[in-house]
Amino acid sequence: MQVWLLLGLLVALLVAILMLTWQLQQLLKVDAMARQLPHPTFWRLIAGGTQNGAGLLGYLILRRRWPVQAVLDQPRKRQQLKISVLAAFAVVVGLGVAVLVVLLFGA
Amino acid sequence: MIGEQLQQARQARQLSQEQVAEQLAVSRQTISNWETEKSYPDIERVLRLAELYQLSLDELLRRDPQLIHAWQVASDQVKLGRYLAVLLGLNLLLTLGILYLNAFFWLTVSLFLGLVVCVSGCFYVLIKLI
Repeated sequence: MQVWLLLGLLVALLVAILMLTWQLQQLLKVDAMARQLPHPTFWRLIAGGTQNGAGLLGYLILRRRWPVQAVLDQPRKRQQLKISVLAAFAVVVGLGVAVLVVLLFGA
Repeated sequence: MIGEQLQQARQARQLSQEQVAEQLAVSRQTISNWETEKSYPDIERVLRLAELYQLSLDELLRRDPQLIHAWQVASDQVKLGRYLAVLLGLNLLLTLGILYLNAFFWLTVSLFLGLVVCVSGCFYVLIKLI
């Protein structure tokens, strides 16, 4: 029973991580396009692909030289994507804690 | 709108974009972006533009709420940057706590939960900054 619960949680965690990565990539795409960053796909993958947030920090530092161009920005889409990313992150954290609880106290 | 106003004021003073760019120590492209409203000047540059074109600040700022909004966003980003620095510092302290105080089970669990909250806070601020 516990093994199945753990497996279920791990599968759900994997799906949530994939969703989070995809939403984050979309958000970075909107931002990179609004700033007309050179090589947006490269920076998107670097920023959204690291696990510890270092890529995101690096992206925030890099993009300072390219201000948002108001005519290219999509504020509504940006806001929707931010909410989706934060919701996906909350699910990832919740599932991660649940996996740890099952591992530590399941027996 | 401010872009149009800046362009008209520059033309009235018979200045080229290059000349204005030189006086403000920015690129010609930046002046062009301000005039086409692709981006907005910061407060320091608006003061210098008002001086250069002999316009009142009131005249410049009243017509364009987008400019004020752009400044508010910039100010919020500075604040969020400070929160991020504090959270990253806290993150480091909690990680060290978990590494060195792992003899006490419940203390380690509490520190770990604190770390989860702190990492979540960092992520929230990072996303707000994008």
